[in-house]
Amino acid sequence: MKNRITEEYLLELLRNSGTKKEGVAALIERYQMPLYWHIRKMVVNHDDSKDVLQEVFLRVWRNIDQFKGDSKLFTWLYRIATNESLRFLERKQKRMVPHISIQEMLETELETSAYISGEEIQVTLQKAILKLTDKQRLVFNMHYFDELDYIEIAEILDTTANNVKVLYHYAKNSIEDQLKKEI
Amino acid sequence: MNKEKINHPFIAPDGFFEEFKVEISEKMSVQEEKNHGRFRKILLIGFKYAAIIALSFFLGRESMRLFNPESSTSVQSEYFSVDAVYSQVSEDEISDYIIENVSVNELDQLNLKQ
Repeated sequence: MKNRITEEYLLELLRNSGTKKEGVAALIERYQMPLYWHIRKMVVNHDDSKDVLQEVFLRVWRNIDQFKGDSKLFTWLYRIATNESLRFLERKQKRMVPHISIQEMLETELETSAYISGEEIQVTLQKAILKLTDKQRLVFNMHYFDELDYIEIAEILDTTANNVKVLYHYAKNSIEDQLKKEI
Repeated sequence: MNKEKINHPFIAPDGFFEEFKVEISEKMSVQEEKNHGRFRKILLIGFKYAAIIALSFFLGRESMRLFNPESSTSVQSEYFSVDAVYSQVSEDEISDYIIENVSVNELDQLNLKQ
């Protein structure tokens, strides 16, 4: 297998039944980390992130033939990971006690769950991010942490670049306000 | 926010990504086997139904041929008359009947054929 294979070559491997296994292995190798971090920033808990990531790859594996190539493979994967994360949070919300919001729940997990580094400023920033709406959180995470541009984010979220810009602007202002209050 | 970038605080357990690769590959294999099994099951059920339909069709056609009063009266009567003759008359009587009703020349021809 090539060390750094192109998206086209990867797709070719995935679409051919004889090389599908090799393609899936290459796909996991290449995208498991960025997708895991993307999911983790949304669902906070490590075990939940692992479950969602598994579901993402199983979904990709089942539906790879339906991928038309209209967008980049990376964009398609990010979209699936985003949708799975939101679906997971929705299910979690339904299972929860009515008077606790999902934001409060995620905040508690941020303070108590394993695999969180001890740096206070990082946790404070995450708490401020948790106060945002899901769309604002997604946009902020993808632009600030993953350094995706507005057009890429717009493709993933199936919206316009201008809309993403506005969402990011609101998110940034809201976080800055929160941080000023906290620090 | 642009001055100094703050990273996220999340960390993954040691060796998580290596383990995950193996785990997800196994899950995919299991699911693929399950899918094959399901496909074979559906195929088997399909074959069963096809066999039942074919057998029903065959039996239906045969019973129509035997018991349809319009088209098979001659066949039916032939079956019944032959049965009736064979059940009431012994084989010797049948042989005698043939011999008595056949001319000597015809008998000779029969013997020659045998």
